[in-house]
Amino acid sequence: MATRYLTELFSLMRNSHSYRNNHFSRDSDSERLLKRKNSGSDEEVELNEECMLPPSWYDLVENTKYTISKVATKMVELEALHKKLLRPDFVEKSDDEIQMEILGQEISKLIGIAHKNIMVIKSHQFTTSSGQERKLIENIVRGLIVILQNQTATFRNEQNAYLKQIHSLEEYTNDFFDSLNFNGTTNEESANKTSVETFDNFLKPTASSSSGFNPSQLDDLENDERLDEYFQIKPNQKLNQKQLLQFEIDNTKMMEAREKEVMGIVKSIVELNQVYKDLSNLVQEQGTILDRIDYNVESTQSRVYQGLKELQKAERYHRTNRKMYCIFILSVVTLFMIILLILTKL
Amino acid sequence: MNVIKAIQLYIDKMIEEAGPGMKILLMDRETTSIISMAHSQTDMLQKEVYLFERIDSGRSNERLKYLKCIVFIRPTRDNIIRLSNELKSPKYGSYFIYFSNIIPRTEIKALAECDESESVREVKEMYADYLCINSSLFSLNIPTCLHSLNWQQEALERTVSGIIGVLLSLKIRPTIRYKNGSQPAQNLAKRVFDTINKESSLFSFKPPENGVPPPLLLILDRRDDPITALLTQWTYQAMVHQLLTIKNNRVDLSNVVGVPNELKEVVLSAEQDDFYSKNLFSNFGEIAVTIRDLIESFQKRAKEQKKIETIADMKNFVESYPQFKKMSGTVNKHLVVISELSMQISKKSLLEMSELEQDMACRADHSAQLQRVKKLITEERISIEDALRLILIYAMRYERHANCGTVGLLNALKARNGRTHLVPKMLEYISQSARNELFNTTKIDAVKLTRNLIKGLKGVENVYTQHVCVLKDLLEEILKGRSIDQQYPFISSEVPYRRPPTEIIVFIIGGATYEEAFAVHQLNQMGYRIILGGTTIHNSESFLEEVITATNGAPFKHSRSLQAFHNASNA
Repeated sequence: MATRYLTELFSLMRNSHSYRNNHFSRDSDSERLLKRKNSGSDEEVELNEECMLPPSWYDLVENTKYTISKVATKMVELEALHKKLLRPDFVEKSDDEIQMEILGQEISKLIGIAHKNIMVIKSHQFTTSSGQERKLIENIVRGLIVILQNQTATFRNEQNAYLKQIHSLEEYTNDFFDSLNFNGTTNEESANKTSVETFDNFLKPTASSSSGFNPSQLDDLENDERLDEYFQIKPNQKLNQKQLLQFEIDNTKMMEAREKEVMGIVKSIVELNQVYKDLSNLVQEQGTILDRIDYNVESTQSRVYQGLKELQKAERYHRTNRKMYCIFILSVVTLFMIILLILTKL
Repeated sequence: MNVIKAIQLYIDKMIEEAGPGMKILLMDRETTSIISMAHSQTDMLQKEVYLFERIDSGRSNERLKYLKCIVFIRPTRDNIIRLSNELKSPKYGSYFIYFSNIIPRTEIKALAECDESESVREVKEMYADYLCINSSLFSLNIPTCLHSLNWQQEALERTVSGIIGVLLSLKIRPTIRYKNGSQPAQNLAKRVFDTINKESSLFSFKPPENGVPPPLLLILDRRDDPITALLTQWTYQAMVHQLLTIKNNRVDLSNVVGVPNELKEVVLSAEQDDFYSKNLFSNFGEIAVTIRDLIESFQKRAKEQKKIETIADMKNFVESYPQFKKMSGTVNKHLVVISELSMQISKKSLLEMSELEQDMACRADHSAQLQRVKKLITEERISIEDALRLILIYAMRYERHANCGTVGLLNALKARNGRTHLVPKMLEYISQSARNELFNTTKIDAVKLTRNLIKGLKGVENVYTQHVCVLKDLLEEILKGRSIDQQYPFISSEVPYRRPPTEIIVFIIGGATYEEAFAVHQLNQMGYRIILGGTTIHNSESFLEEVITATNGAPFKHSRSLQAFHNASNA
């Protein structure tokens, strides 16, 4: 990818040109300044300055971009948190879970804000008179929506993946307990290890263990050594009724917490639906002829040309209208005169 | 060695240098196409380029000083004048000017003198001066480049700058070979060689390591292989071009019956369309299978979409909806294109046509083939263009045959009001070497004979694709390291490298074809690095246009026996 840098050459030529101009022009510098001041009236200067400043809605664009970039950073955080939560270890994670929930809410709120902002920007399209500016706003909105859309999609995918993994973890623990079925102690341990959803299944095995050993279940155990282990462990840490109750209370508490968490995610998804629907309309355009630069340039051109034609037509109409107007007035006058004539003659 | 990536890199760099903020891109007619081939509008919007305008037409005179203006134009006289006018009364806040090729110093001076408000921030040459079609295929969009069998001056200039652009964007300083005996090829090679030497500071890339042969620029002439451009092709891209015409990756379907409004014009870009990029080079049979698979998976998804019973289903639906939409768009597009192709194939009996074409191109069996041509061209179902193609192939193949029946065939075509004058024109167009090597039925070439024999023993895999273009044979020779100095000499008196080059750029004067792009693609799959380019990409129709303009003004030397058909007026 070779390039050639010509800016230096260009500015050199530009400077030498302006220098030469100054040198050869007879006016002294001060005179020239005076001249310029006179020629450029204050109004013009003001106008120029106004042109230099970006229009009012541009702040909003910057704002939206900032919001979207914030979403991106939050997304990274959320991803890290999800990973942490899914890692099986012994650390208490309720704090993280709360944080995750907050993060999720924040992200969906930010997306909502960005979406609202975009809508506001879009509404500016109808207030501006300049055609270029209208086109500009239209394209800015389109560009922002695409970025936002990508962010929303990743957010959703992330949440979904998390929910799915929790689900599979649940299934995994289910399988795990099905195979062990009646051992309370291991349950207790793994309940701490994995997170709350294991308590769903925790009830089942504790119930069976409280009712004592079921001989048929014992038959299921093919490994004799393991069987021995169970008998060794059991007397030390046998659960009594009280403990069981305690577990059940804990269990429901945590179930509630989990449920709340899931509901929160679902809620945020529902909230995003509206945004999402708005955005998805745009996807179809990508990859079609509408997304071609040359097509758009051509169509603008043909539109400009058509506009010119329409204008000419309108002008023609206008002129003919004036003629018609004259004819109409004249005919009214003639009619009036005739009536006058008839009246005076009679 | 990927031309699409090369152009994209240039565009990205331009935008990057302008910095953050809202930007407008000012282009000319050609650069608009160049950029459109590489990036979609969505890509550009992501990079904060929000407005697109052509410098040469339809400009509004609103001032938007808060915009940064990226100017990307070819350094032509007209463009420079327009740009100086723009700089005299700047509409935008600052200007970043990029020329797609080498610009003379005097022009820069003229521009600098117009920039009194000092709004120009950057001036640079960025050599994105060609249209990238596939990753290894580029075109210059010059529909006709020759006149009386020599260069049209304008086309030559454009071609030289196009090739220089390709070389610079890929950072290649090549050795140049050209087709011996072709005046246009020699001229072009000379011009490119001179430009490289003149701009040696630009071409001062890191020389290849010791022992590695330098890349090769091979300049060929369409006149040596007119057959390839005339045959019915069966790869997807080539078929679409032959039957529907691809123009800058856009296909106009407005003539097709029963096409929904939004598909009146479709984009077939390997860059944005996965299905297309995977199936560019698969033949029609394979394409039918893949599209069936695509539709099956689409149906499966559509079914999934339909059964929404639980919240989870709903959620899934909303999630996959955009993807689903996108997929349905792709399916729809390709389905329309493919069904139109298959409709035309059966309507025009192209399978039968193609069999005979291939037979004529690959085997010599005069009397039987003449009979078949005679029979086919009078039939109504064969379109008049296809009949003409058959006669052209026959006339070239058996030009010097003792019982050449071209006159009789032309009379038959005349009865159907065909463009008979094209046949003598074609006979003038083809080069001497094509006569001697491609169509020689009398002289016995031992190498060719054995090769044909081996081919015959192996049996033909597919009757419709047995013809191998000259380019593929030639490239294989080069890559095997055979000496081609006699037919393809170097432009300079360089010591020829004995080892075959690893990077080759092939340029065909008078247009490349998608069939040749396919051949190059096959070789690239084997690990070689080859890029193909042409003044344009031809299908048979555009090729015939090229033949007509190329032979305009050339005397009739080879087709005196067809004097009755020299004039176009009787067509």
